[in-house]
Amino acid sequence: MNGAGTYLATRDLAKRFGGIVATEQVSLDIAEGELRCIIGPNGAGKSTLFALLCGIHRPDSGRIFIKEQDVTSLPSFRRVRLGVGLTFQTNRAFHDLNVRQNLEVPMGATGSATHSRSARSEDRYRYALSVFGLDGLRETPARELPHHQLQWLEIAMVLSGGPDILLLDEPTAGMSPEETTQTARVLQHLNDDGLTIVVVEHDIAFVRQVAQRVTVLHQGSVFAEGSIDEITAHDDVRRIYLGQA
Amino acid sequence: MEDLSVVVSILYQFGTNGAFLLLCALGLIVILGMMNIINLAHGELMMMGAYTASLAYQAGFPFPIAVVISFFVVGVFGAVLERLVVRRFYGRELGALVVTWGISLLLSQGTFLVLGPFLPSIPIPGGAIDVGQYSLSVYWLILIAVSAGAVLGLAWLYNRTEFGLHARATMQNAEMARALGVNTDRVYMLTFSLGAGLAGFSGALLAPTASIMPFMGQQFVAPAFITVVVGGASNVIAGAVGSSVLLSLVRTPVGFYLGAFLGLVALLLAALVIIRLMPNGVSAYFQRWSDRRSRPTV
Repeated sequence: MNGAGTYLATRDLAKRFGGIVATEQVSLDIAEGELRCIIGPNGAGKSTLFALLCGIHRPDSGRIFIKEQDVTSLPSFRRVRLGVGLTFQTNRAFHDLNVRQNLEVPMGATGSATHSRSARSEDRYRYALSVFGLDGLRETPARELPHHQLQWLEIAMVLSGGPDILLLDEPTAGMSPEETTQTARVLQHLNDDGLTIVVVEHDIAFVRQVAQRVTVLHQGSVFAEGSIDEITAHDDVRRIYLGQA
Repeated sequence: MEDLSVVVSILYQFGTNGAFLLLCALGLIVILGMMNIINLAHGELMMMGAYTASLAYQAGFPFPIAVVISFFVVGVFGAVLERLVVRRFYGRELGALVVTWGISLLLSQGTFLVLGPFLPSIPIPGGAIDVGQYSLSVYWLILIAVSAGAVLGLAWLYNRTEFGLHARATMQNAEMARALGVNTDRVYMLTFSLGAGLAGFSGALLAPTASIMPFMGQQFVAPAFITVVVGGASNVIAGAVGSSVLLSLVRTPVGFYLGAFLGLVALLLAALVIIRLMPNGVSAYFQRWSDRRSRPTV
């Protein structure tokens, strides 16, 4: 599946906040159909990188490409319309809307002339609804859902827009081990189906369950890149990230 | 017959009081209730609607067309205002309050300087129906129907259309809405423009019942804010309907028997009491009540 062409790429992304370097010279190539985890200790620049990829922050220098199109200066809603699906670390489903309405927001927004849901993304969306148990909860207000189901709702909302790539920021934060495993299974299934997925994640147990390739960020730069086995065997990574000598 | 005409007259008074509150509140339901902007220029937007209607009427347009023109003229003005000024103050309630107050002064004083102290008034369309010793204005009966229709239309737009869904999503969490592909800048502009247009529409409709002066907006601001705030934010449209009904229920009998001034005093007292008893407004109370009903008892 790899090698089918680069879907998402960054070149020398740099962002400073005041005098603090958040990311420096971050270059990534995410291939179509890949499931990539980006890990790193606190302060490594994961959240900043995610915000740059989403279009929440603009980089001070460097470029971002989606399907070889330069999107560095596009606002986030335009990137979404190019086929990017985003979820944030803090849950942001619309609490005052019911489940059905939450799922309808991206349909109209991304189902414009530029991007419409293909049969394949329709299948992914249906799959997520049933496996996350959201089918029977359509008229339930989002505020009444338990925490993990709100996070699942958010993933389903993103899939309802029919994306070609998912960018997820800590999708399992606050979940129990069983819920984390369930989430990992669903993401793996979606990836097997051809969906490109990038996960920024802190939970190494989750990363072990899903990742094909792992990028380790440290002090704002790419510190190491490789398979999960290579990464966990890497002495320096163990030292900075896993806290082992 | 005498008793019946008293009942009809009280019902009519109740309807006109409620319609007046709803019409005053119409644009503010959108701008304060949905966008959470304390828009102190609301009265001046209504004044602009009245002015536009008066000028269009003098130019020979029939009054209903003049009302529609007012909606669009003030709506476009609102869109420009949002682009140039208001968008810089989202999430800064006090900043928005001060800047809209400034806009209200500019609009009323500017109108006074350019167009003078008053415009010719618009004759009240329609005649009157006599019921016993009372006379009911046909125009006010039309206003009751139009205000109900406008609120239903707004509820439909808000609850049943894609624009309404995107607006609700944007007002709850703009960043998430953008992350789902919603062009939130456009949603903000259209929503503010809709609120301004509705204020212009109400101003035009109320123009025949008022003197058309640069400072006429002030009489609408207090009823508008009272209606929206008493209604609360949980469900702003249902809240505004509920609060205008409740407030008219208090104002009408007091006004009928003790005079219009004491009726207004009773309305203000009722607003105080309701906000004291239901700090989140009438709609939060409805919401809790319907939540309790919808939840199965175990």
